[in-house]
Amino acid sequence: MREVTVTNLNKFFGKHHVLKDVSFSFGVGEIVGFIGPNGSGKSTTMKCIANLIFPDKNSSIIIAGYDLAKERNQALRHISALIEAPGLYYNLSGMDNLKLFAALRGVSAKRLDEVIEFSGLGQALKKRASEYSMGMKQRLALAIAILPSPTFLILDEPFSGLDPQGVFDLREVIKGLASSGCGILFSSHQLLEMEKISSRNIFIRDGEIVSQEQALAEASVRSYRLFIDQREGDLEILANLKQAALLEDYEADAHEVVFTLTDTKHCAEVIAALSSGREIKGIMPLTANIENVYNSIYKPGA
Amino acid sequence: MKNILLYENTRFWRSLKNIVVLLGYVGLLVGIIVYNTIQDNKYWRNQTSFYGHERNAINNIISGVEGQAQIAKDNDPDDIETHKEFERQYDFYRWQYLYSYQQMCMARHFHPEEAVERLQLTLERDRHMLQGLEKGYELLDHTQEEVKQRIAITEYILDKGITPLNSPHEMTATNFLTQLLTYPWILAILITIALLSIDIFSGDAEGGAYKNLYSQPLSRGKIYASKYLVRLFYSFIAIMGITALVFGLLALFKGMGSVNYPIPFAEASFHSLENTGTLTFLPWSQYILKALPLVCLTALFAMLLIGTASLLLNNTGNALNASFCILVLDFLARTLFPAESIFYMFWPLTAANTYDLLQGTYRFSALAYIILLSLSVLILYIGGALVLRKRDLTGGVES
Repeated sequence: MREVTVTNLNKFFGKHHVLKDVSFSFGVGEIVGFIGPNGSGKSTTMKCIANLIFPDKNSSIIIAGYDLAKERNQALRHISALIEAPGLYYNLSGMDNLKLFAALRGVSAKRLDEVIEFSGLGQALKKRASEYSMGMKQRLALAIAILPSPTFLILDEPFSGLDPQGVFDLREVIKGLASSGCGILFSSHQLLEMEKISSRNIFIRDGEIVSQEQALAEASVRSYRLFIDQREGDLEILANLKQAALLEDYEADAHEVVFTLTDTKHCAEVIAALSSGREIKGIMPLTANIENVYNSIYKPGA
Repeated sequence: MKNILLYENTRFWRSLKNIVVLLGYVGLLVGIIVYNTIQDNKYWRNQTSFYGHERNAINNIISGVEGQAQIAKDNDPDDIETHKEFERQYDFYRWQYLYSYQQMCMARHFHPEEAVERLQLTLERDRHMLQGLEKGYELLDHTQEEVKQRIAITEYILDKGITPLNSPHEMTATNFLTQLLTYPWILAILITIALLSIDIFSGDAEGGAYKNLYSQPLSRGKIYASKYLVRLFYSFIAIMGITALVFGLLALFKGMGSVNYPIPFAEASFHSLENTGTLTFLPWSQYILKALPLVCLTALFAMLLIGTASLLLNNTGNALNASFCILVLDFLARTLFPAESIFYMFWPLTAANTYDLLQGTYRFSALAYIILLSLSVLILYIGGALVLRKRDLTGGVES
């Protein structure tokens, strides 16, 4: 059982149903993106897996074959979490933070040295964590998370607040951890970064998991690239189509128009309006990238 | 369990706040010594003034007795017995006036080497006073029990050849410790304990480290117990260590004082739930052995009270405000309510006034407060553990 399986995860905060039958799984060596806007239930799900929040009855979280509700300690031995802002003791040095959590998990001195090297913080480890940049804090927090060599790693917004170099470095670290066999579930609002490293994505909307196939289908048929020579009045036509709620968005240059339909049923009508007696050199449905998928799922009223 | 203990150990000693608090405790002890030394130097000047006021009060009583005697004579010149009784009353108060005058003279011309003579005079006066009180002559707010206790203490000092203190404020090592266990000085210990525990749970929540801590393969119950265990152990070690150091320094520079020095004590303190009114005394060493467990239990209560505030409020600033409010409430209550008030029956921090409690000032005895404190400690500990066990640790804003 080398996977984390979440089944029918439900959580109420008072009367607010935050998680509704959330079910998914991920295994070792996988990098799985967990995508959703603020308030969709990402962090709550991750906190449930990290046992910071208790799921409601009949929810099930199995980590490496151990039921989190019944065999908490065995299950948590296989998992580490870095949730939201780095959880550090800011009045202590980076080294003290590492030593503190190393003591907590009974990590060997050899492993501690490995993690110190992995953190790449060098002499900065002697400084108080409060003096660190966001990137350094994230590196330290990640180092703490991997101290016990977890089988699974939960990363909530790990790119948050990082500069481009920090994002690049962290991306490589995550890839490295996955290639060494660690299963990673991570959330981020930086969709392009996610697309670069995740092997698959899980979408969550209003506490419910959205099927990836459905999302891809929706996204792929709504965006087209139309190869056509532009003439006077085209921009006005496009603007009118958007105003008439046939188009969600468009971009046009001298030889092509890229547009996204509000609904697939408008496809013929839009193409007819744009061609109107001209030769259409080609029509290409756009392959769904993660942004298309995201937009299709989380568009207003979806 | 060992790992979490090591973890909390590091947190305790690497905290700058804790070091500052312990230095503050050293400062408070020095403050107590300085204050008492100043009071010691002023004591006999103040006593001179006290005896002056006392004599005025006795004079008023004498005038009253003279007036009543005159009325009795005018009403019934042949009632010899009544006249004799008034004469006896007059003599009693007159003697007390003279004793007070003698005491004032000795206070005004204070010489430390006249301590034994001062005590002998006090003893003579108290014996005389007791005879009067037994006959039903009221003298200011003196009671028979108190006077008997004073006589016993004075006789004990004189019999054992113990060097008397110059004043209750003299900072010998032993008297320093006795003073430290009186209100409000004992607050130095309780405030230090409270400040050392104030971030016990909120400190994790504020930096977000709780997410790392509580997602470890350790039960929340163990984490909870370890936190209190480590704080309790090191707080007590640190406070007792510092106190012992100051005690040693005072013994070196100001003298040890007698370990047999008599300290007032209510006899029923540890035998009955209510004070019976019988007063006695204990040698200092025995008194300390009886007072220390009470102080430790009060300190434990203070720690759990603030720890629970830290857990429930999840914010060190708010926990600090809460502890300040409790302190003010305690202080105001002690100012507003008389010792027999019902308030003290349900207020566990009453026991903070260890000295008065062991003297039988309150209606309930030390034993009653030990039970009350133990129950309160148990309720706070179990309540906090249940809250932590059941609580969703959401921290900040959910996304």
